[in-house]
Amino acid sequence: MKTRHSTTLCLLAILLSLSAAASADNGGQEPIWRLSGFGTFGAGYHGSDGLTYRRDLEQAGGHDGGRVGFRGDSRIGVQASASFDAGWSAQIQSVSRLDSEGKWTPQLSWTFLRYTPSDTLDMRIGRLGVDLYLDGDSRHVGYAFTAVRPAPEVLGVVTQDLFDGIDLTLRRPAGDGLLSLRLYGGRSRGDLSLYGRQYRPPEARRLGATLDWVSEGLTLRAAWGDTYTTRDTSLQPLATALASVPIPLAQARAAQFDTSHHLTFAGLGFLFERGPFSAQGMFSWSRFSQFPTYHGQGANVILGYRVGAFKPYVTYSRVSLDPSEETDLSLPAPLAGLQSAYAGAVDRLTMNQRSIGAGVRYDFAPNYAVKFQVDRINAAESILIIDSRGMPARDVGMTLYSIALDFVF
Amino acid sequence: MALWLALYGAAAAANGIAVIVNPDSGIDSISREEVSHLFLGRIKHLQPGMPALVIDTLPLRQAFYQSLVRRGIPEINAYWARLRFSGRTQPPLQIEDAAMVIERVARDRNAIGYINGALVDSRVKTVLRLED
Repeated sequence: MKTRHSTTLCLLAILLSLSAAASADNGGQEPIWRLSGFGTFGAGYHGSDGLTYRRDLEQAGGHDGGRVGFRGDSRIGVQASASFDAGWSAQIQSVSRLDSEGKWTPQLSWTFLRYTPSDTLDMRIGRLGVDLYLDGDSRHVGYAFTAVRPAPEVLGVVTQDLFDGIDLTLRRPAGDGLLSLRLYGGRSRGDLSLYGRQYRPPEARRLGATLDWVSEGLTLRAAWGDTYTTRDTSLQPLATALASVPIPLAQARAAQFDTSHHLTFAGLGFLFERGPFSAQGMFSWSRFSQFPTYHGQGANVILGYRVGAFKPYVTYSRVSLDPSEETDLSLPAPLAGLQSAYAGAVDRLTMNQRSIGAGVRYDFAPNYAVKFQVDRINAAESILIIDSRGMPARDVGMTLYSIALDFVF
Repeated sequence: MALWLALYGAAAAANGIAVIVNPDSGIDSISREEVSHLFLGRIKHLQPGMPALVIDTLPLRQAFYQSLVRRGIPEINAYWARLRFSGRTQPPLQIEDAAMVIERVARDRNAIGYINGALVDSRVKTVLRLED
């Protein structure tokens, strides 16, 4: 916690000092700061007693079965942004929502200094995010999304989507649209909640690239990102215990739990908007290199049609994430506890979940929208749906009813 | 108010919507795609080295975006929410009436806005005309 706060203070100090420098460069003219914000007040209900539906892995809780809950989708964010002359601008943003500790502590998100000398070049330094979301580069701005929440099956399993670092965007006209390439790198930020415990990944390096082509009604995106983590000792107690077992296969398995690993993501997406009709799709591939290597695929499609202030829509999404290496290991009966711990570790990210949903968005006033959505969710294994101990659910079928008020100001 | 806005928008559509710049901007015409990129924040310069001040005329906003990109105001507002809160860019400056837009464009070389085509005068230059 101390590290997180000192990083935040460091970021703010850098931002303010660089802002002052940019202002001085502009003949001392004061920047114009603008305050704005966004929020969602959301409620959800499903009838699966004893289970909690989470929209992403970064939250310790969500919608609990058998009662109306407000914790899963509700959130609020405030932002101050400033524009300077000569292409300089800055932004500070903080978001409060249920976090991996089950608290609502505000967290610093998009906070950076930006330099845009021309339409072809854009640079930022500070706390930035990966741009995976076709409806916006934050999973928290509900008003920007057609549906109540970004597809949990595809984007809810993305963790550490913020990083402290730099990005560079190059842009040029291509056909009747604009082609842009964004390159970024830095140190990953973010926690997650797995198996009933908060997990803060050690310092990890994030690298990525996004290629976008945007025209009047069509956006195409190809994204790639890699998080390289070193000194991840979370499985070392298990590895040490396995290494002490006088069975060659157990010792071989122990050696396979490396403390360095890559989490690699690639995605393709499109967003088509023509008149009242909109369609978007996203397809993703992911790989986690720590034993047992996981490979996964995800897909999400949303179709919508606006009729005045109303926009009915349907959604479909699915994810599969499975180990792709042999994990067999049979320990003697007296080591049943270790056997169980091993089985849980090699199965820790397994996920097979799909959902189909329908909803309607009602823009009843400028900058305000209400959404009502029904999702049918089926999961053979899911780390997003958890029991009261925080353990992954298996063989679940649930119907989730959601209503959300989204706003920006 | 809503009725007035609707009537104003309808009247403007009948006369066409003029996209206007400062006569000293050095710009004689601008393509529909460029206007779309500017008003949706994809590009930020009128010309190299000339950061654009992009202005929305509030009563005409619905008609303008409907004509330009075939999207209604709820979609445009949601679009800007995406960009504002990921720090990509800020939405256009919003001004209440055409007279104030003309004044602002007339005194700022970097400004670009839009007004009812019937209201264009010598203080500003039309660089694109949008028909309904």
